[in-house]
Amino acid sequence: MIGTDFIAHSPETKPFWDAAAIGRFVLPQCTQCHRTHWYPRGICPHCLSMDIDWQESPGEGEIYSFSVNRMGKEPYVLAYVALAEGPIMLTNVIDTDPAALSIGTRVRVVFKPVAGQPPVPLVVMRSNRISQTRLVERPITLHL
Amino acid sequence: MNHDEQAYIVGAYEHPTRKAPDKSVAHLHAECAAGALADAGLTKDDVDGYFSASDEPGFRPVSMVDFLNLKVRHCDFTDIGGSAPLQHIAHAAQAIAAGKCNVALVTLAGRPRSAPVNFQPDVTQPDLLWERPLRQSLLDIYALCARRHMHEYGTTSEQLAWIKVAASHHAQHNPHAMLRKVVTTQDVLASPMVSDPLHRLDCCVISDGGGAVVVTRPEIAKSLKRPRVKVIGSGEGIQGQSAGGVELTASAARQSGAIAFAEADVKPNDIRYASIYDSFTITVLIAVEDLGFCEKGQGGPFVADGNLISGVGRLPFNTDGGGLCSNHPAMRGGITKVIEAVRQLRGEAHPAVQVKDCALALAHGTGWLMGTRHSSATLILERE
Ligand SMILES: [Zn+2]
Repeated sequence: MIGTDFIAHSPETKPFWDAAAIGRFVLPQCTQCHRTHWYPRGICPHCLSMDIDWQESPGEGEIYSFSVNRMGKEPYVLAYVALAEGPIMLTNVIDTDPAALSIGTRVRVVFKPVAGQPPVPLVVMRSNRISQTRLVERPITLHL
Repeated sequence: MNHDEQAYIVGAYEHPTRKAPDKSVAHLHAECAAGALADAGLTKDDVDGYFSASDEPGFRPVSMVDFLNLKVRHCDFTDIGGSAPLQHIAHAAQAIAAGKCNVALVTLAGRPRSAPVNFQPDVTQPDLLWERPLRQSLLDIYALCARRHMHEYGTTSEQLAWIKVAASHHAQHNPHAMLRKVVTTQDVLASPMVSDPLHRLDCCVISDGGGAVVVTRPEIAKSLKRPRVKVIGSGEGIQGQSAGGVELTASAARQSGAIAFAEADVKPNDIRYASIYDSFTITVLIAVEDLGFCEKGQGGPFVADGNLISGVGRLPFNTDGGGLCSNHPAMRGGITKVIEAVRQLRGEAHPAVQVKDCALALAHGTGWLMGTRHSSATLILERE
């Protein structure tokens, strides 16, 4: 399994995946310089400290930029989301009409299982109540 | 570096093919190498330095040096993406100045059009762990840059379209170009929206082909018959997501350009011709700002109204048609950027696009993905 391979090759990020497996979104924060980073590493990319604390986050943020791919049957949205804690995260906006999006739209992290992949955090519009309560849906097709 | 000791580009060759179903990647590299050496008036036995990147097959420089049966004493396989050949030329100049080699060969070739590359993810790549599960394409990542630039600076799709329009005006004169039809901004805006806000005509072509360049020391350059093109400045840079502080509207060209201009001791206003990496229109727009041709945020107005068209605007760019219209061999436009700059400085560009008395040119490359992590490499070249 590709996902298993990925995690096996990045064992330092196991705390993130363990939290994700039970639906919790955690962010790596450095205990030395107290800064949060993304994407998660076992070292702090601000000061190279190895002392990382995995802090639970409500997973709230705003769209920093987004694109709407219209080459397939259904459009999909790739976005950078500026999390409330500071870091800007690359992700997909799901279960949301692309026409409703703009830079600044408030979004919230959800986890969806992806076949053969680790459950990376995706986001939905914060006003989208259905998706907030529905954590397990159909697998997303892999797309390179 | 003392300008008297700087290296020269003495040979340049662009493969005319755009589709090569009957040629191997190694053979394309070899044809480009032979073409550039013939252009310089040198032979393979003169080559003692070889520079290449991951577009070549097998054990990379080890396989290709063996395939070409070269005897080298210096090689460099720094792969910073599509901008690699520009960096290789800079590194070749540095190696020559350090006495590590005398005649450096730089090659790039590939045939993604005839044999689409089945890209296998590197499971040890740390960033990919977080990105591969996402639905995404490289197109989407560049579209993120375009959207943010529009948001911050009011840049419009029509302004981006002007970049394609300028490239098409040049490509009509290039018999090898894949897209020779002159297009208008309306044509670009009417083409399908592939990754909103980018249209299909905001994208470069996919082609087979390649090119090669020969760099050498002043004494050897002066013994050859070809016009001499001196590498008077070079710079490079890498920019990523900065641990969560990604910048989408500015690139590593700020650094590579500033270093190159300082080394050359010239200003953006002195540049008569610019080859600018054009995987997408937005790639050009951001680079034009970062290289200092206009203020940050003013790229839209700067590229509009034909300002990049030779004979019309202030900054003639990519007069071969560039990646947007001519070719993008191996999905990498770095080598062709240098080759067209060399043509301009030699006065060998197509007469319809030749910049009059072109004595100073810039060539710039962007490698990998501007919206996530990328490299920049800038060269400033002078006709002697
Ligand atoms: Zn730290």
